[in-house]
Amino acid sequence: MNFKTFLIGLTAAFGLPWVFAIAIPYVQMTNLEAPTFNELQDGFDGVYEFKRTGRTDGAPIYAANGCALCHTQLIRPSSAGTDMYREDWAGVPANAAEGIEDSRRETNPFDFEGEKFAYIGQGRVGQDLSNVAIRASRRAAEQGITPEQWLLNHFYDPRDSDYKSVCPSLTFMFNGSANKPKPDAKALAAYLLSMRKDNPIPTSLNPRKK
Amino acid sequence: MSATAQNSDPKDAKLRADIDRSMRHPVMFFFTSGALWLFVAVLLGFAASFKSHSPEFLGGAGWATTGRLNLAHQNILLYGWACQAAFGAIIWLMARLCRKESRNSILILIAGHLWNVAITLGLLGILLGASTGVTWMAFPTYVWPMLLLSYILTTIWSAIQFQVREKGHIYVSQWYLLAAIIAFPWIFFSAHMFVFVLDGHPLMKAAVSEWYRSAMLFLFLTPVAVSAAYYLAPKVTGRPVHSYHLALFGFWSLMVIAPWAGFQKLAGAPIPQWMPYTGAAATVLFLVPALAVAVNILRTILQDESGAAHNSPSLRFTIGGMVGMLILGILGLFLNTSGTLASTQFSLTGYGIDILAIYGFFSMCAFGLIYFVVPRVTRREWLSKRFITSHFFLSVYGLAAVIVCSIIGGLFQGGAQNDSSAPWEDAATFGQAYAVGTTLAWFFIALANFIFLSHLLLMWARLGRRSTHPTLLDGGHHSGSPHGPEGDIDELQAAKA
Repeated sequence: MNFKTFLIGLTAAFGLPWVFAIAIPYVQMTNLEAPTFNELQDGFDGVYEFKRTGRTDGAPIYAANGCALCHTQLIRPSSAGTDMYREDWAGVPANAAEGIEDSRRETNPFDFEGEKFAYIGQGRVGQDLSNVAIRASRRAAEQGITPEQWLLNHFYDPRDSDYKSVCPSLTFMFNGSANKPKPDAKALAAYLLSMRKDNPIPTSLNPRKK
Repeated sequence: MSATAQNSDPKDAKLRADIDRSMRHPVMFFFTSGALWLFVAVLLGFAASFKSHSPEFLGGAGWATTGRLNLAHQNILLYGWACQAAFGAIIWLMARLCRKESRNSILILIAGHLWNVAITLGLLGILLGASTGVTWMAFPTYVWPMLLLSYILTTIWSAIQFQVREKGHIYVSQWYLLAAIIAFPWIFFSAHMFVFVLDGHPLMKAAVSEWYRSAMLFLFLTPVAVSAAYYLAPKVTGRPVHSYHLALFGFWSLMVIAPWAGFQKLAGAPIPQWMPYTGAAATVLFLVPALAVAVNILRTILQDESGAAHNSPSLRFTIGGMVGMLILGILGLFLNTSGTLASTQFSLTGYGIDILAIYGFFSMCAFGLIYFVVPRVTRREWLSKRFITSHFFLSVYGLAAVIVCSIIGGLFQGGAQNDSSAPWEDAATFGQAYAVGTTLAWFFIALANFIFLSHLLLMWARLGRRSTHPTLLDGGHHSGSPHGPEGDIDELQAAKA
């Protein structure tokens, strides 16, 4: 094997996957076309736009404290896991008595609107956070406090609620009590409250309804 | 190539001694500072692991948050230790195999200092809360250009040495070294551009960051480790490599398969669907080059009847590394099938595989090379075989425990995570007993590396034994050494004359 064939071989071996698995999908995903609602399937026409209710400027704080090592932000389709069926993870299941429709859905590419990096996550030592806002609101309603305050209490002492969580206390983001958060804690709470990914999406984007 | 024939030629011995002398400072710098960072990384790993079952450990300070400690641990292990050990290996092996003295040792040394400054800034950045949170790219973004610059200044000379070498046989080790030298900047630069500079889709950034991890493992650390093994096995036993064709096959299969791996971490994410499948398939197929390399190296070593495999610290660690590589390949096969991936994707197993790859495979090969190189560049022998054996066995115990805990614990934990009718507490508590086991294992590894670091620092200070007899593991007295008569070069020459 001479040096020239070696270099050509090496360039081809690296270059092919680099072009086809990295560069091309990267460009394709950058220029994603927004899906549309259509009259026949969805009952109305229009362009789908994911609107987050809340700020995402807490994302760097989420990142810098390594939250993504223990928490995911991904509802996998049922072919790849059972995330769809775990209580409160994918959305709210149908409840005929209260007239609630099934809002559960998988994560789609538009759910990361406004973020610089999709913190899919490394592990699930804690729960998935795709729809943490739903859980926070429910827990807050049970205790008669705002969802934001419930989250702040939980950051301050993650072992305040029902099971023996190993989540670290973020006491350094507070001035001595859960009622005196520093700006970082508030930004992080706002970021988590923006995590509600169960809004209606066009049928074309939803493999469960095709 | 016959080691004994080379060793008997005094001209050749002189050339090798000159190369070693020219490389002494940069090589020792990379190895010792790498070992220092390794010790730091292991302590951080211990702390992060301790916090994963006892979250109140170390109190509630910001720097001691589990996530920051863990990010610091993984990044220091990779950039502080593994990369620096790889740099030391690349520059020394390339110089020896091209038979060229280093003329740029000062520049390499400066580049090495730059690398260490960057790592220090990165570590402080992570602990003080400026991390990017991307698992293996967690240093603040101003660090990576410094790392790239330092890398280029360190290894470009090795590429030049290869170009200006006297034409002739290219050793198997040299293919791997060249591949690593070329792969690193390509992977490192393009991945950091895609993730931090270009304005892409957040999901593709996540995908690239996972590809980057797997590429760093399979296309940079793996070639360097394999290169060291292909150097040491024939050199120390004095036998040719078992099969040249198998070596050729192992090399090209790695280069063709490995660049596709990594995306399986995003299985189920809304990226083009073939990507995670391809990633999983490539990781399964890693078993092919792993088998080719490990069988080839192990046959070269174990068919030797001179007892070198038993006596030589370098071979002891190389065997350990090759076994690690085999286990890595086999686990890759089982953990990436569609049945298990759903439950292992977000469980403890991923971490166990990372540690197996970096410590059980790469580092063991690197330790093997360090035990071979350091006596040659410092012209002193290792002080104590007991230190070396303790380093080996404590590492193996620790490793085995980390891997068994994270694989088995991960399977239980993943199974519980994926059982959507069982409460989440199950999944959360299943992992905990294994987390305690992992902490204990890090304690053993910390002990192993404290011994290694102390031993290496003594050698760095040139307090090693002044002897022509290498330190061997069985303690008997030897008439001839498996490393050849490579002691004090001046004495050797005097004896010849």
